[in-house]
Amino acid sequence: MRVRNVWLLVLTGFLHVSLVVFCWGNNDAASTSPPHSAEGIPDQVYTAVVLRDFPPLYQTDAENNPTGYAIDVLKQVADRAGFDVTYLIVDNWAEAADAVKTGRGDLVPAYGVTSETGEDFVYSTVVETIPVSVFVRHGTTAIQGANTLAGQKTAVLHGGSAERELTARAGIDLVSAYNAETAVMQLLSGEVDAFVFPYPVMMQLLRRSRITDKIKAAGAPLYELSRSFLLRPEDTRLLGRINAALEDYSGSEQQLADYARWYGEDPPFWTAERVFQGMAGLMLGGLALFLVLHYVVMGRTNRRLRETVHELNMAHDEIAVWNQELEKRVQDRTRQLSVANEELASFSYSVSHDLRAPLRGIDGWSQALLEDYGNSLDEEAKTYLDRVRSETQRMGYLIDDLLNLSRTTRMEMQTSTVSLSELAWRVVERLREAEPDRDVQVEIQTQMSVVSDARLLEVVLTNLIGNAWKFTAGRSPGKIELGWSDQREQENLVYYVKDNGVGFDMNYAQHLFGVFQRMHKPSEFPGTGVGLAMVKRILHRLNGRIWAEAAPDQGAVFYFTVEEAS
Amino acid sequence: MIPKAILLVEDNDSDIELTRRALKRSRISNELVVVEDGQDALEFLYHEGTDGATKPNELPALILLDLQLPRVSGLEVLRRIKGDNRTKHLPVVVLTTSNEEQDIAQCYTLGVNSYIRKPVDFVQFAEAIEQVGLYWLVLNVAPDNSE
Repeated sequence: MRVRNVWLLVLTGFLHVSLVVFCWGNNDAASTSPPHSAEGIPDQVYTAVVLRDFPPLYQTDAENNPTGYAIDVLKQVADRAGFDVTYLIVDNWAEAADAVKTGRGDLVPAYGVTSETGEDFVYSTVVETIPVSVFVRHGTTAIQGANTLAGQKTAVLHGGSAERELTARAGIDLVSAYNAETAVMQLLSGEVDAFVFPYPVMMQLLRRSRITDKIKAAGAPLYELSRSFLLRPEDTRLLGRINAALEDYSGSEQQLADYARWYGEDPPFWTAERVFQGMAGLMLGGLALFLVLHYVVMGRTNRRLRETVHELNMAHDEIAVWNQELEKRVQDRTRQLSVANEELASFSYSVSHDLRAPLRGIDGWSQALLEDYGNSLDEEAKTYLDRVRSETQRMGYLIDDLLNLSRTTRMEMQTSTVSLSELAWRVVERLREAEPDRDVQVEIQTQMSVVSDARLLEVVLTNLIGNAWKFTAGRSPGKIELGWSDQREQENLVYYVKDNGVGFDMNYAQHLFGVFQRMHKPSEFPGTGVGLAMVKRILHRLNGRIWAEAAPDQGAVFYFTVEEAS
Repeated sequence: MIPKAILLVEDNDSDIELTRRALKRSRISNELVVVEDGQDALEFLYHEGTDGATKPNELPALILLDLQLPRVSGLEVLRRIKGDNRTKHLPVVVLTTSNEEQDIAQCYTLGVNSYIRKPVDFVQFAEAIEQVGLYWLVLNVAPDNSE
């Protein structure tokens, strides 16, 4: 819409420019006026009868002074012949001739001499000779010359040469017009079919009126018309002076200049005006074509754009719906998870309190039996009660480990730079304190550190080193090694804890990290089977993993990775 | 002088009797007053509830407080004891099976005097009770309650 408005503006502006240029061209064409010249001292004054409006021979300027080619010739002739002129302005040729005949005037400067002119006047030598043609409307083909005029309504000027010429010819329906404009109007309106008129005068008239495209000359000129000074027969002396002057004037540069001024040359077809008009037309056409194409292309593009936008909107809406659904699902799951987590937490809490309390009761009352009634029990009964107590305590350890397992996965993470080497030495120290009699050689790689959670890593090392310590119980010396291997896993270092203990059968390795899964009989090695399950969960929380290699009696190696926290 | 009582706030029968047994074995002769939930504990201390007319009980020398209690929780009882000028100097020892960090932290924030995790092993439990009793009733010097 906006684009179309801009084009309208451009179009309007362009039309304005065209009109201005157009008018300027007109003014230029109409601004010619004849120069004034008066040389010599006149001894006599003659009255010249001139037509009011018969361009380019006669016309009148704004102050009603006669101008025109005939006037210029008259002035030149009068100048050369040594007389002065006054003017009697009349409307048509008939009137002009009559004025001379009746003595109101003395001469007509450019009267068309025909064979029918008669004996009433005398004529000077020829001032000009011009062809007289038949003019018809464009598109008329019936009239091609004098012979085809029969039966056609033909306009002629009242008292003009054509009227005199054609009246003699039979069969032509003559329509007498008072001036050329009237005849042209009659021709254009179809009132007449032809107009017989001097060719150069008519062409100038058509050009001036911009109707060269409406009226054309049909066929060859009808006849050649000579124009001369018309005088009364008795004015022979004046005739002689005029003829002498005309002889001097004819063919002079002055005459050529005067003639060129009034008749001009046929203007080239591509006048500035036409160029502008043509350009304007071309540009308007181009503009129109452009607008149409623009409209069509834009319409198509817009339609496609609208379709694409519509599709995009649809897709967007769908995605929005999916997103909402996803978000809702995530929220639901999160809520379910947090509910499950809370339940797990309160479950752990219950286990911690409510499962342990009866255990303490069982243990306590067994102990009370032993204390209060030990004397009346035999040794076997006392052994049974001891078994009750040891099983109870084992149950207590299981519960404690389960709680620890649950706690490690719920514990909030706190990231810092953790020295694995120092952490490992602390674990080893605790083990040595608990069992100072053990003979264990420990090697720990120096300066191992990682950005991670210290408490979780301590649980990992406590379990891994603790296991190594436990399962090397039969070795002397036991050997425990902690370090990093050459391999890396996704930029993460691979640490290992290696021992020379009892190892295990790799066939059962898939159970290694399960809860309550044990590789050895409790009588051989105590334990709840929770430690490695806890280690695995912790390492998963730290975006790492754990795996093992071992063989029975060949020791075991536990590899693990920890992702550096950012 | 009759020694002041020990207030045991505990809902588990077995724990009550085992505590009594442990105290007896430790030759701690203070009377053991047992209330089985948090509400009863507050009533004993402040005469709350319907029995407003009776004369206030003499405050105990030591309170052994479980956390998992019916009606009013142990944490709430602890909050009231330590928030009340009449009772804030009473030594309160939390005796619980919980070793949740959250519980421990909250108890100390509220001003608990000791936090003891009850061992499953009765022998260890009895030792713990004996030590607590000896420490708070014999070794520790309590402020004068009349201040």
